[in-house]
Amino acid sequence: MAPYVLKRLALAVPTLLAVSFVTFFLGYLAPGSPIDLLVGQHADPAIRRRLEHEYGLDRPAMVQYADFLWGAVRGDLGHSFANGGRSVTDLIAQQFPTTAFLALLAICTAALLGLPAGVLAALQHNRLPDRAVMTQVLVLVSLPPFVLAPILMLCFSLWLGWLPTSGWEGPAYWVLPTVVLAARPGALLARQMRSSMLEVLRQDYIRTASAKGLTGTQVIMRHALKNALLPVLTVLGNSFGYLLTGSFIVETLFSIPGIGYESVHSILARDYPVIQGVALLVASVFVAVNLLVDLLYVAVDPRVRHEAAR
Amino acid sequence: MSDIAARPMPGAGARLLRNPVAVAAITVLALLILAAAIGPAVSPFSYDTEDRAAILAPAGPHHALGTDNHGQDTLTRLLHGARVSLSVGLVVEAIEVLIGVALGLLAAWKGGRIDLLLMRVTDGMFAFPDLLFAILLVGIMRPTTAAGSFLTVFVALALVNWPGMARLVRGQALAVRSKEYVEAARSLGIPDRRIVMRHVLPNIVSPIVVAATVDIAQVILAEATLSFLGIGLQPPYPSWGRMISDGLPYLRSAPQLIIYPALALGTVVISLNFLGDALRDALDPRMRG
Repeated sequence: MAPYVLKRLALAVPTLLAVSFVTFFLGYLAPGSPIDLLVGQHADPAIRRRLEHEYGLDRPAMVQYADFLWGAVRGDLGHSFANGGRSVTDLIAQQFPTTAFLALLAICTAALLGLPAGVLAALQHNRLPDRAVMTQVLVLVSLPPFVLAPILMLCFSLWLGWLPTSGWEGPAYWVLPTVVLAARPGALLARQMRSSMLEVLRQDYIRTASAKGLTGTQVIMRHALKNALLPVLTVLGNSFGYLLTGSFIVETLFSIPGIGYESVHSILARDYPVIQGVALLVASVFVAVNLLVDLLYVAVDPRVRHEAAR
Repeated sequence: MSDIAARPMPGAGARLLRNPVAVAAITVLALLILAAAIGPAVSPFSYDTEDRAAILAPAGPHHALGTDNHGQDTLTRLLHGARVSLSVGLVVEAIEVLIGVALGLLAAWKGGRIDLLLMRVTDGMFAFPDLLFAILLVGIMRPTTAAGSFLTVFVALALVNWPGMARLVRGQALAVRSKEYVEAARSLGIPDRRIVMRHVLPNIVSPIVVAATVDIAQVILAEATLSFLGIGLQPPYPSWGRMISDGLPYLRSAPQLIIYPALALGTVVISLNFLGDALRDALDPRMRG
């Protein structure tokens, strides 16, 4: 097990290097110089040169990249061009917890609703509950947050007046963003749960379990569910990529002071250090979550453990 | 013999047309394509005609679906938005299928280093959330001209979407490669190129068609997301995503500004997803889960 973990950890390093390389050079090659943002396009060339030197922008690209990378390793992601030149690390540290909290709420909601729905659909295969769940899945997968959110805001905030439209001041403010963000992962989890449950129910050991006289509930709880949950883990891991991207849109829609809201503003303002910092953070979280899922797989499934040990 | 290879799914069309959901989806999409094609030409307004006398007007005889905060006709802008969504979806998907099929077949057939390279590159791309990559790419490269923004959106979406298709084609081609009929064709001395084009490709068309249909929906959603964030197509040209974000300040006073484009986007994507599902059932009954 230990060599496998080490191998997987080592594989994450080139991925993160590639991400840092791409994010740095996207910013480097982008049209327009950051100096334009500071002093305007028509500033005195002497002032421009002095500023470029001050910010280290007159050095060769690879030197700047190495500097960026070394900074990132030490936890220093540079300074924002806006926000009064605040440290990007500070900015992220202040806003990431909100985003992480929202993502956590969303993934729990998605799992609590999606997994039972998927099990129900599998057990009622090709009957009404199955069709209802699968139709719901297709509809939810088709509606992006910026379609779902205004509809829910209209119904629950403006017409019924039950929930606030925007802000982040307490549990009532959490409900709509959580539901909007959870819709897609919930639907995908239900779909995966259903198909892997159907797959498991066809297996010989399920027939054996029924044949030896276990009740339907016992077969499902003790044998089917445990085995069917494994492929669901992968979907769960991949959902984090969506949750992080979705937070850009959901936080903008509901004015939630998280990393997504900040990123959209930074992109529109061409605040490259913040964009690069966020990209690096998101990639790291995504890689870490997927690594965790792979390791979890090894931990819970003896068959995978056997493969990994070889 | 070659006839059989070229027609891998006899009866698929008839099976598809027996499915009421598929027929409904095809009808909706056909009507929409028709509306997008001729609608803008028939409309008395241009997408940027500003009717100062009718700002935020409700639906009425003059403006069938009302106007926005600039007095621009909502129906006309919706029809132009349909052009954007459909053309982005189709063009990006076409590029994606071309790249995906070419690279996937090449990797499956040649194996070795080429295959390894493809797997490594796609692994790398899967390690980063694809929509986020598109947002960063378009956000940083954001050109200011309309043509430039069109091009950037196309390139960015094609760039982040091809790996999935390449992996699918590779997997399917590998499975077909070891089939007896391919072996038979090889032993007859038929050149590789001909085997791939006449025996392998026709037999993997079904999963490609299904994946492409569902992918078009994803591409349309991705374009709408970019435009919603304000980094996709640049105004004044309308996009459904942009129309939704422009309508947000008027959610209370003029909710129709959001409801119409949201409805349009939802209808197209839902239709494509249902069609993809029906295609899967029709093309390969065994894949029915």
